[in-house]
Amino acid sequence: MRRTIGWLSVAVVLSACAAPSGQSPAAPAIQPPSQVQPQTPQLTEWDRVLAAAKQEGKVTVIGLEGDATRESLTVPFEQKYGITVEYLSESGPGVPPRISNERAANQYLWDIYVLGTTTALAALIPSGALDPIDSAMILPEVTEGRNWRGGGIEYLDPQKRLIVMTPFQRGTIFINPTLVRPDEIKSYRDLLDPKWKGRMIMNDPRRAGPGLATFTFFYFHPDLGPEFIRALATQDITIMSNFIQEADFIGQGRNPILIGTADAIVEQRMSQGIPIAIVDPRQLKEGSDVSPANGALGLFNRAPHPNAAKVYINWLLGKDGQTGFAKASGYVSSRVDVPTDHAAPWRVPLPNSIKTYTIEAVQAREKVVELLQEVFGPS
Amino acid sequence: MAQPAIALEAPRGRSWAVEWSTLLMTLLLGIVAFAVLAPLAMMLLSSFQLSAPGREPVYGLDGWTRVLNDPSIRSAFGNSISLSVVRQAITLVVGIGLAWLISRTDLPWKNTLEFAFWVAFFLPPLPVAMGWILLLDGKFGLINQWVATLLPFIEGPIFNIYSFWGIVWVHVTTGLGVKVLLLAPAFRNLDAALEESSRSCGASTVGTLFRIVVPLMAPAILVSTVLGLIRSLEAFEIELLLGVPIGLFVYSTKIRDLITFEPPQYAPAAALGVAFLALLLVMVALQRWYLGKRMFRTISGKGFSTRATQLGRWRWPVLSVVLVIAITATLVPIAVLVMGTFMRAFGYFNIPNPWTLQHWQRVLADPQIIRSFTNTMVVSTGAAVIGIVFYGLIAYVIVKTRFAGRALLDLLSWIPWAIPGILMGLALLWTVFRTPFLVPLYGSVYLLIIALVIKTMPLGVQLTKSVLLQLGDELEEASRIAGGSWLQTFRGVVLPILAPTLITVGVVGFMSAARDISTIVLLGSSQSRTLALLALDFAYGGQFERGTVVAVLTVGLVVIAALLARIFGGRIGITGG
Repeated sequence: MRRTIGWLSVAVVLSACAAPSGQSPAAPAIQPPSQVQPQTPQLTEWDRVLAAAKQEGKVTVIGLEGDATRESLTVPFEQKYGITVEYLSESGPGVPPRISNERAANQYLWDIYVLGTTTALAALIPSGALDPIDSAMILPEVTEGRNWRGGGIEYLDPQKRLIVMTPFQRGTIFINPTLVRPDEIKSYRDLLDPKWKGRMIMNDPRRAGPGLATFTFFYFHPDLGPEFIRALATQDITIMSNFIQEADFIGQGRNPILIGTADAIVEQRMSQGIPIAIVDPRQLKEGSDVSPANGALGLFNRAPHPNAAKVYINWLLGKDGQTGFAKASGYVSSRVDVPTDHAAPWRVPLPNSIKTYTIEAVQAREKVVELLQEVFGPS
Repeated sequence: MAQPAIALEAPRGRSWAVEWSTLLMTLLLGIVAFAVLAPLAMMLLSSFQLSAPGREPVYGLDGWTRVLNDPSIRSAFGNSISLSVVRQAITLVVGIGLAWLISRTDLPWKNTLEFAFWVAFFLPPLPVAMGWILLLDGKFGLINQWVATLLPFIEGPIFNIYSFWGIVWVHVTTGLGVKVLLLAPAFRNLDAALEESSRSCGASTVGTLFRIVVPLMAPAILVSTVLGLIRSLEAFEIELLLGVPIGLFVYSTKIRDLITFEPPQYAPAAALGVAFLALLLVMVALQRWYLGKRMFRTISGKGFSTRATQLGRWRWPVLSVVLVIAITATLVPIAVLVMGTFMRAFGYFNIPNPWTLQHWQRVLADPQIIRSFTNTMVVSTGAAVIGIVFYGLIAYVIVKTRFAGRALLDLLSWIPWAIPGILMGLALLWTVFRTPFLVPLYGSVYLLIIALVIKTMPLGVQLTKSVLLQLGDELEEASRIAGGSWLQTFRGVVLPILAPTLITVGVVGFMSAARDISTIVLLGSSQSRTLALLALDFAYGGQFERGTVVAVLTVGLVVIAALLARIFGGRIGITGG
């Protein structure tokens, strides 16, 4: 198998050399939107890193689950640079025990982290597993602030160890359009209407996930807050814990309204023709929160392939990498030059939206969960 | 437990042989002790470890305090117990009947039927549960809709899968396969002369079953019951789908919630897991106490008859009942499973273009599929082959020797099931990184094989043990009196009798390895991922239908392996005379 992959890699590199673009294999294939001068110091540094990366031969990535995202984070990079991506798809909670045990045994096996912010903020950063990532950025396409929404890359911690690649406006209310008119819900307080009592479902908000993110948003919104959560709890909402099942309950018409599930799963079901819709947050008086879901990027310290890791980071944060990742995941990239036509227009973050992924929000979750366990019962 | 009869004693003048065999058995005990106690110790230790992964360890009782003060734990525990007992009661009675009919009577097509139940054991629980939802959902289930159309005078659904009995139903349909798989080999080793004597004394066929056969089968029945109860307590996938929407929580979903919380709450999760240990120890003690008082030898040197009980005029009616059960447990879930892989969205018939080949095309074009298939074959075959040898040795030492540590070995062989499946992966991860000689294996298929051999140990050892308990000493003694060495006796007498059971153990090992997720999910790397993990990858990415395609491929692989094992197994083993 290893030999086969080796031959495939050679074939990919050869075919890249024979490509009509006429680029040298060592030259960066990414052409940033800004004017890039071939002889700038950055390119010299890039040449050196790229050559060393090819010597290393591979990069190891812990990333999110799903075949489409796995493919978007591996195949284009391998085709472009001839560097193998060893990709381990993992759930967020599975990462900290794996990494901490490996490190306790002096095993430093991973280069790149592409998953959620909570795992990184709650476990990886406190345990010192991530390095500052800004020093790995070389290409002007990546470093120039004007290529990013908000004027620069968004870091989640002062030491710049975690990047938010894809903050997007989350969907928080999901409906069956044959049972609920899309314009029927204009505020979250409409959910308190007695006609919905006993007819709504929600993703379990007492556990980490989109349900908790939604209720964290409720908690911090000045027009909602704990009082709204207490009122909502009197509506006899059915609590569930399987995203596909939640979407199917709505799609089958069993329940008309679903609160706080995984957007990506609902969009997947929508693309399959199932009657389920996301309420446009722009029509909601209170809007919705912004979150990158699993679109956070980190660089592990003592990475076994430091140069390949740098190349990977520059590729993933470049236009090509972000376009492929955003399209596969359904997220919206922070890069301004990445198309957003694969997602609904409202996905682009609105100014002043509440962010439910920051350090402060993660730290405040304990209070939120405490309230949720009080009003919905212990999980 | 029955008194062990054959001692590995050395002939006079060759005292080195005694030491050699004792040494080997001590080594075996040491290996088993390490393999099962190290993960258990890790789990116990982590129940007191309060700091987050990667931080300096801090020890305390907070995990335990939290668990003991949580009022919801009691109700969840009560639900778990009631669900487990009801399920086991049903599957035990029906399973004994099925195993007896398949192995002791002239029921037509019994080999095919037994194979069908084997397949039922392997079916992946999540898609199967989704299939039953499709059929038996109170409002939208196809069967309920058909009944409502055909019998409009019936009000409401005939059965709602979202209920206590719905959970029981799904578990019973899969649990019957385990019972048949565990009990049929032991039933086959029953001397038909015993049944014939009973009938000649005037007992009916059913009376003979419950007054003669079942008591003689006590070791196998008890083992399957204890194993079934433990497995029932740790099940959570079906409970999550069918129980959570109706507010029915079970103990194992609590453990799962704590582990998958971010950051993970290992201390209370491990503290909850310790309850499994307590329960397991009680059940094992009861089992040993009961078996220790009696003898269950059914295979002796006095001739052995396997003549089938004649069902007479009940033959075809009984067949139709067994067929209905087999079809319900096997064909219906498989049909729904396969159908789902060709649907654009599983269970949606009313959307535009509901049928598609897209999921199959996508999965078969996935670059991971070949690697995952290869890994599954290597891991499953390795676990099966090593398991046969390892479990066979352990069971033999426990039952057939006078080794001083055999009682301890017996107890230890149960321990891997004292750790709930969802915690086992973590416990093994902790163990691997604290064992220097295992660290180089991390991420490789070899470590996955080791982990799976440990995880399946209780099933493999107890299954083999239950048949060895039936084996009288006369056969071995005769061989030794005739000058046969221990090895010749084992190869010529014990092995042929054990062979069908060992093949069953191999098939179980293969099946368990091919479907396992929780044990290996943290031990594998991108290079050693199996089909089961690939299916999970698809499902978590929102592609449930593609995950089902991978599950169907895995079922196909296991069916082929099981068929080969049956063909091979049919050529060896004991035959009646």
